[in-house]
Amino acid sequence: MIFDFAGRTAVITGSSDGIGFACALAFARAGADVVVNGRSDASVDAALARLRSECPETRFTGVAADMGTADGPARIIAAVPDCDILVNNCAVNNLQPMLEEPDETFFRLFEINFLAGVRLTRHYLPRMLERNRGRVLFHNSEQSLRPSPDMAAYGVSKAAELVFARSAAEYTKGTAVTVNTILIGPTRSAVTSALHARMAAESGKTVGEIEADFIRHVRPASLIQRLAEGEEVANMAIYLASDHASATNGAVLSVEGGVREVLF
Amino acid sequence: MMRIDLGGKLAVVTGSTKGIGFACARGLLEAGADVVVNGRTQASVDEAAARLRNAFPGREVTGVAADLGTAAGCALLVGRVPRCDILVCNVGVIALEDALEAPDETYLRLFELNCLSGLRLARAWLPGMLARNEGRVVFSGAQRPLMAYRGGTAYAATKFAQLSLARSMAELTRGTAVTVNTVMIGVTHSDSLDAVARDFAAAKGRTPEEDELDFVEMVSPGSLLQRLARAEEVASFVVYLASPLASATNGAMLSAEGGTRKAVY
Repeated sequence: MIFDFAGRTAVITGSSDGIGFACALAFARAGADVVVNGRSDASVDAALARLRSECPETRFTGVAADMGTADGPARIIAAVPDCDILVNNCAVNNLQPMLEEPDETFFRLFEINFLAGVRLTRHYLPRMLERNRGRVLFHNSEQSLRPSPDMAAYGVSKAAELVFARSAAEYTKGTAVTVNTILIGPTRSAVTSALHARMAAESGKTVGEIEADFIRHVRPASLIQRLAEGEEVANMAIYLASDHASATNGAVLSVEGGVREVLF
Repeated sequence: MMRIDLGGKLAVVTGSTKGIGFACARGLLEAGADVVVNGRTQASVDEAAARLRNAFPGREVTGVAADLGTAAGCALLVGRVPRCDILVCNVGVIALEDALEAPDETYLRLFELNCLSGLRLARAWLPGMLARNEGRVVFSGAQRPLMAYRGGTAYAATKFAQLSLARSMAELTRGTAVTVNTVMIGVTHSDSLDAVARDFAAAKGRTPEEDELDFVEMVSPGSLLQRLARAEEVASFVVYLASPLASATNGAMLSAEGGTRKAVY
């Protein structure tokens, strides 16, 4: 099976590191023109340098934009008026007991984790429908589907996104456009790696031991018994964005390593 | 360009002489795997294997006629294929009786074929996959049992039972690189369904093409796809899950049903 996105443009939010970066690299390798987004010029430039060294032939566009404001998505849209593949990836987390999380945290995470994807989909999806071709992907989290007393703002913002994604899919009825969600579990990223490195330094353990402890204590049910790699999420994004996935629409597809001990 | 390469892998696809199973066999061959095709009769197996060899000259295609609705049929298939890297449990039958009309025999027959056959084959091949720390089991699951209907209950119940079997089987892979997943399938083109569509259209004096939207609305109300899925569209997800690319997807149900499910999750 071949994945070839030559002539297609993929916009990937929050792609200066982590899972988004892995997606940018995968789409570039699969032939797409790739739009890279991060909050700062420095982060976007650093990501572009790494990507260009891996894929010198690829046409990359960098857009520094904070997706936590209406201005951020507007900047992406101004730089890239149309796209074939939209990967709503950017998200932030906040670890705090839920009754201590202030309104501001709920608003901030709601805006970045949920509203940014709404704003971009509102713009790009109608254009995809006009062309009768396109893919919208949402990167969601298994955290949406479990109690999150210490990450409630994150949990509710991503839960809301599940509903928006499935509702947006209704607009594609009878077209060749699809809207799907990838359900992600514990995955290695810049954020988790930095956290684990700090925990390792503080405890005298290795990063590997810290990661193993995390799986053992926090996600013991994991079938893969390790953190997933960003590349493994990107693989699913590539499949779903391809023409091969034409009968998968309005769906939630797991790349969470089997951490959910339930049928549904 | 990215490519899925299953070169050197042996894939067994049950119920693969036509329809979705045949498309899976084709997709796996196209991705480089050697394939074992299976059907109930020698004639159907020979015909399918010949078509595949014709499409992929020089490639290894083995045909095994076996009724997987019996323990003996499963044993026969296992006896012919000592090692399996990719097991696609696709075989299944439908029965249309209402819940209370269906006799024990219908429930038992469908349970044995739609659910138990996967376990019987996994008993033989999954331990080897776990020992090699490499392998894939993919079930052809059905979207239908997620909805409530009065009819076709034995089918829905046994296919729902299969979802439970698959998720439990995935537990056996914990900490290994082996995965067990289910592709959720909706209303998809097949010889038998296409015949039904032709009959419905003919009764209204229309061609199946003219009647397609009405037919879809009847068998798959609200479908986002607004047409029947093609077998290849299901098979592509099976091939993806069978590949190394899908290494962090395990114990999951993956939809290739055209968005018929009016549920967020």
